[in-house]
Amino acid sequence: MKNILILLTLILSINIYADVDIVANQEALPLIGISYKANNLNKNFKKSLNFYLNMIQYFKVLPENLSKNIKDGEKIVDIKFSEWRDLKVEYLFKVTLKEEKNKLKVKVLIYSPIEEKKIWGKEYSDYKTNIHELAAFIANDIYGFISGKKNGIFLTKISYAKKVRGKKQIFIMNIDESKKQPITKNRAINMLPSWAGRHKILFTSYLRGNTDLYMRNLSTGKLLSISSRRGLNTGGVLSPDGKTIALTLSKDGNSEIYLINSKTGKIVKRLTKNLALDTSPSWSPDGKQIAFVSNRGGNPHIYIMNSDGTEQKRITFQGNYNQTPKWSPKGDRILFTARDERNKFDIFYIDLSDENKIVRLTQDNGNNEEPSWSPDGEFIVFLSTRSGRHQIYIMDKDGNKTIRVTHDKGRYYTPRWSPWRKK
Amino acid sequence: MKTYIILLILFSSFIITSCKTTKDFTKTKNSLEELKNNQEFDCQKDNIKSAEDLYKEASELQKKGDDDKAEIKIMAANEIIKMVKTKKCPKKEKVINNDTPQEVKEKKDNFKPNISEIKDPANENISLKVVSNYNPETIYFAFNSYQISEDAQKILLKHLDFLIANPQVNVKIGGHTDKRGSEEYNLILGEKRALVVKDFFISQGIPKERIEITTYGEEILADTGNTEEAHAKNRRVEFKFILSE
Repeated sequence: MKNILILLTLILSINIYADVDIVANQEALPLIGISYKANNLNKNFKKSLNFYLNMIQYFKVLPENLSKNIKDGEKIVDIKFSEWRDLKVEYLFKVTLKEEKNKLKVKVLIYSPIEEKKIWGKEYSDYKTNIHELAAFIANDIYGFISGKKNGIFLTKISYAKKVRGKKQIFIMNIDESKKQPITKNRAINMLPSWAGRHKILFTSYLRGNTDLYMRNLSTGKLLSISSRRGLNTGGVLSPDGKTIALTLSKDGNSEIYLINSKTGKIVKRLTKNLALDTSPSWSPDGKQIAFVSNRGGNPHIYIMNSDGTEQKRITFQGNYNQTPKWSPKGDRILFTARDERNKFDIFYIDLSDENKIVRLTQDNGNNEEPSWSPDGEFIVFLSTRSGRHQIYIMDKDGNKTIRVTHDKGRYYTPRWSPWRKK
Repeated sequence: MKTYIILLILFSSFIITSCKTTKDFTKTKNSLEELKNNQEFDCQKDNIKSAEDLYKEASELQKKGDDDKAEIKIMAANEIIKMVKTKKCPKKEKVINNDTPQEVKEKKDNFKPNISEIKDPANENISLKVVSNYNPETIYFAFNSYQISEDAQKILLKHLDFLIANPQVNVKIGGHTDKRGSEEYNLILGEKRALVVKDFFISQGIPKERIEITTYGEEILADTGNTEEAHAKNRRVEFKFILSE
């Protein structure tokens, strides 16, 4: 993605557009119209770019059949701005795709139908094999231009588990569902993937008959055994400084949360000590605290403690089945899954900045479980049964807009969003 | 002169406090030894272990001279010891195994285990040689529970008889949950179910070397349905009886 040519860039002050970010009026989402000049070969590119732009809470991509009826031309005078205005389109994207040997060239121009002029433009080029990543790169630029934020998360990945011939395997994919790649290919059960930096994934596997913790290096393909103590070695999560892994061990009979050295696997500290079940650690972004699940009060609830195990305290008091805490990258929220009185599972968060207030994010839409934050804290990936079996969905951090990621009849497990990735 | 008196007071109070702590320590140590050697408390070995850990930490702290923290730890250890002492484990009921040693021997001689090879449900590359001519009845649990029900206890007693009569057979206990709730929590819940069964067998005199536990959480469902009935069928502990090598 090095050969980016900036053409004809008429950048209006970003500050003017920064206030788009706080558009909260859900009834009138700014619409995006995209007019593509492309052949069928680039269907995948279109699908990806539309997906990424649709993810943005305050955008709605105009259906293509509507855009097609609108007249568009090579020159600015040919564009029928009034027709786009009639459709309430606030941003008109003109995306021109051109194939050259093994490369794809993309020109993106953004017009304002209201102001009847071009407000942004850039040209890109990449290998055809990188079509999805190219679309993500462009989406990052567009998101940056319109929101005023430096980085978009569209080049990140999602890891998940899914059964292959009856046994769960670990996979990764782009967030638009493209490029699904297996990380494990064995005849045992593999589960609970967890990113340990950009190129490593921790997971639990029965490779040797016991639930042991392994780490796959995505760059080298190397598989390392991290913890294979007697009993459980599950749910490892790397600390923000990368030095330790928090995980659940039951080597002494009862499940407890421990810290182990991320290089040597040696125990650094035992954090919990009681006869109840303790599991699912999640680090605060500063690494000073850990949220976890414990049933020491009878039912599973969310607790927090300092990362040396001191000051353990319960922070959820409603419901009787709260699980999967996930501390937000900004540090102000802890996501969790709760079972309500109707036996439905839904996603909530604890607002740490507002007296631990509980806020509901999903409702009346099947079961919604296993949330995981995007690295910028703006999005949440999760599982939902709203369309049948558990499929992967993404919503914004306030649950206003949800889009479906996976589209098959299979059952997905434990989606986990990767850290930042440039490519 | 005044200084000497103050020093004397300080010194004697030091002796008194350290004596008190040392006395507490010896008492705790003795109680722990007593509990560990008493089979009546075998099913509570986790608790005893926690008390022991606390005792060890307290000793460390005392060595470092942090008497205050040491005392807190030793008090906590004493609390656990007190709790353990109030709950004796269920005694092995004579009724379940009233065979004379001769009869037990005959049963053992009469039973010729047939062995069949099956694949480990969590890993197709691992084979298990299981006894196929004994019915390894499954036991079931309530939602989010690891309490052994009366029905389950009856089945456990049958398995116990079988293990007593066949010392050449070991047991592999697999803990399972229904598919609701997080996979990670279900793994530890499944393990806890297997663990309470293991503790029961140990409390009844089966050596721990003959018992292996594995949790499968929600990974291997007996019934994939979404009804309460299906969920109930999945909350279980399964048994595999394996000939010892």
